[in-house]
Amino acid sequence: MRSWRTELKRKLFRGGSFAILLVHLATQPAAAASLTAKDALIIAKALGFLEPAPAGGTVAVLYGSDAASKADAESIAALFSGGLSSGGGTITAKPVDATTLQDGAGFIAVIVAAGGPGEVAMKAARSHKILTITASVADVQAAHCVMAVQTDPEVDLTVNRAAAQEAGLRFAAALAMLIHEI
Amino acid sequence: MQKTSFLRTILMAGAALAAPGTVFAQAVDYGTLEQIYGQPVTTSATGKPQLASRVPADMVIIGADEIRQSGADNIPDILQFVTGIDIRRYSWGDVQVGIRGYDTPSYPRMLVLIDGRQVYHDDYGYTAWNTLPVQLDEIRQIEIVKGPATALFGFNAAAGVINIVTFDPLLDNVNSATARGGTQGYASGSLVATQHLGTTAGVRISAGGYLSNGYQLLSGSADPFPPQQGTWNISGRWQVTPTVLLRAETGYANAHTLTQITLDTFGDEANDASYWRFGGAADTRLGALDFDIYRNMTIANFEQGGPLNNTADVLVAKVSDLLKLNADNTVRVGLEYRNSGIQFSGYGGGTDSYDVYAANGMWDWQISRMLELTNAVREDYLQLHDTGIFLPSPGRSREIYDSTTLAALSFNCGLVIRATDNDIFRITAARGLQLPSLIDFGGQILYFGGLVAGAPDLHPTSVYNAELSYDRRLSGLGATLTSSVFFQRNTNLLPFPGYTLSGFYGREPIFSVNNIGSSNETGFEVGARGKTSGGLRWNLSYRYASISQDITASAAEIQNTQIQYADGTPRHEIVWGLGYSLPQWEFDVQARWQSAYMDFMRPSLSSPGAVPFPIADYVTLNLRVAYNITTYFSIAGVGEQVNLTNQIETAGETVDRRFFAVARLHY
Repeated sequence: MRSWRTELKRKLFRGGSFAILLVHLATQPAAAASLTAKDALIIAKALGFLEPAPAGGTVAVLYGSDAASKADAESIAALFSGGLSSGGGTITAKPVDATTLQDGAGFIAVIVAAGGPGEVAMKAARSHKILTITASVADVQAAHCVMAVQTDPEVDLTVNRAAAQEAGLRFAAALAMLIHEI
Repeated sequence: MQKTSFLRTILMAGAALAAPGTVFAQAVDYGTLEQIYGQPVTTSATGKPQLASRVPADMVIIGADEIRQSGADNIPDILQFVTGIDIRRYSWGDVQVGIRGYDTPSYPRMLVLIDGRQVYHDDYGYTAWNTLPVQLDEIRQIEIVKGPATALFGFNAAAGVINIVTFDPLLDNVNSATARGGTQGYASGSLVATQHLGTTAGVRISAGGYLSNGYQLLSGSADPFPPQQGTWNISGRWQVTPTVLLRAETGYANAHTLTQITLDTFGDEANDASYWRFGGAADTRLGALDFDIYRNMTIANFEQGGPLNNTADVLVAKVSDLLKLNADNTVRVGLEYRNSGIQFSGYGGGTDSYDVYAANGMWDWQISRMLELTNAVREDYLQLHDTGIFLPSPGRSREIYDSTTLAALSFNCGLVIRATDNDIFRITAARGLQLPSLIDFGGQILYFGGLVAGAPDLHPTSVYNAELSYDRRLSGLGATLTSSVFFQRNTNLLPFPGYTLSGFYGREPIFSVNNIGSSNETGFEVGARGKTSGGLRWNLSYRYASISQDITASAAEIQNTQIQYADGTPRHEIVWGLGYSLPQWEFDVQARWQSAYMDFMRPSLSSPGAVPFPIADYVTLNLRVAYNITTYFSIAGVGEQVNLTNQIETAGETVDRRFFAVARLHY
């Protein structure tokens, strides 16, 4: 059994790490990516409400053939640098070329960067029951992605119910009651 | 027989939920959901998790930071700075909290809950705030619903609901030790400790209490019964599978406070309150299932008269299912059983009780992204019982009593219109029900030369409420403007205590309660609150309320005149607050002004009724300065009612200026 001093040090370290993370996220250049640091935090937290929730892992940030899409993916992946806490563990992200994603094996979710091919992500979603995420509500309406994250002027999670069911995805009731399904 | 079969059904339902392979779910993780949405999440409006800004109700949520920044050491002192809430503090520990008027020394119109467990006392119809087994440091948020919410919570959520939501022992890690000491011989301490057992179980233990010399009597004399309180509570959660959760809780409180019977007659009101609770939740493909069983037991002792002593017992069992049918429609269905009884120490220890069987349903329809319509309905069926020696009087026999039943329908309807991203309108209509207290239904107590006998033919007070509210987010200011206008009609009003001579038992007069008429209330509230990135916090609000009443009973028939609800409700109220946070310092000022109102006081034991006791308008001004010595340890100085040495707020004790210091360790 750990002593209370050890426990306190552990909590201090955790608290300090969280503060550093907040500072890090607050100083990220939000305009560079289609998603913001706040979006990334929300995505990480939302993944913890999947049933079953992934026990940490890596999120693929899918980009298309053009340079702008790749840059967006790299910016989004950078928001996860150091790992973000989720319900089941720590989430990291890495940019992935759409031509190399295949069926999404090895990833716990796919974020579709601006210009990324949503249909490729959806194929991975169906193959491995993983969540696909975008900043574009239109892509969710078109069933090119399962969930859209918006934070301005207030947080809104939009989920395509049919796409989620097709991918075999289900959110815990607490979040399911709050998300906006279409 | 009916009770047995119902309980069996509940237990079978619980067993079915716990069966492996049938479930996959999660409890409401308030903390993470608030992190996602940037605002509190609540289930107190409709029974389904909702964002605070989108509930179809007039709701205020006070968060943990606001509780700490208030400096208050008790919940009513926090609530007094919520617009629309009325506080009547009759002594240090005897305080009643009302919403939108109709205030009395016992407030029977509001249901108070801790994590959904009723702590309202059915026996006399009030909440004993000093017996709540909860420490301020373990409260995540206090949710205040203004207006009836009977369709969700049942009887007595007539004028509103206060749900005290604590941190989750499994999901939150709250540990604190707080000591306070100050004027009036005040000393208090509280401890909160959370222990996680692996990743699937957690227990939170809390304890606290205080000693004080109390406030002064109106005569200027010291409180003859110095208040004291001690409580403890244990709350546990076990995530049986990733999707099945079990809950267990128990707690105890002992509290003493002065209770005032006449201008010069006082007693030590001592309450022993305990409870146990067991429940669980599971997400299935049939919805989010929940079951909850608890029992509250209270032993009340009044030194001034043995016949007033009693033992009250409440047993509640309920099940519910919350199901999202499709993208736009969510329904909630529930069943509830309640047994509430009071055993009197006088007249052979008779027991009066009732069984309540209730069914409720809620339908939430997301018509469009802009429009959301919520309808909730509940039917309660109540049956009275009496055991022990029965005191017959005209129109009152055991047969009549035991055959008395009542069925009552309540509803809540709300349309939420998100006109723009920054503008939200709400149109709500509701019918709430205030049940007569057990004393009024079936009391049999000798009380100052007469016999108080219940009236089984009483009707619940119906509270019809219609309301329009508008919220506007002022993004540039980091502020929100809130406003509401409401109309409320009450029928079958119940007086407090308002006993009428109904016959004689031998030579002793028998007094009973009658429904006394109806009333209308109109009012509005407007306010704004904001926070800047620089650490400044502010709020300003105003409430107006006006009651007109049509009392059918004559003054001569009513022994006690505390039915002057129109005069007894302050018409105007202004609340103002300002706070500033620096990395190590916090400064807070809170102020509240209310206009004059009429309280009542029985001059002597021999007087036939109460006499008016006017209360002038008054201001309460509280201050707090806190210094964070480390991230985990802080000290604070708090001044309450610093503007006046003694303030007459009721016909009870004065409320005196207080200063106290706080040392708080938390991690």
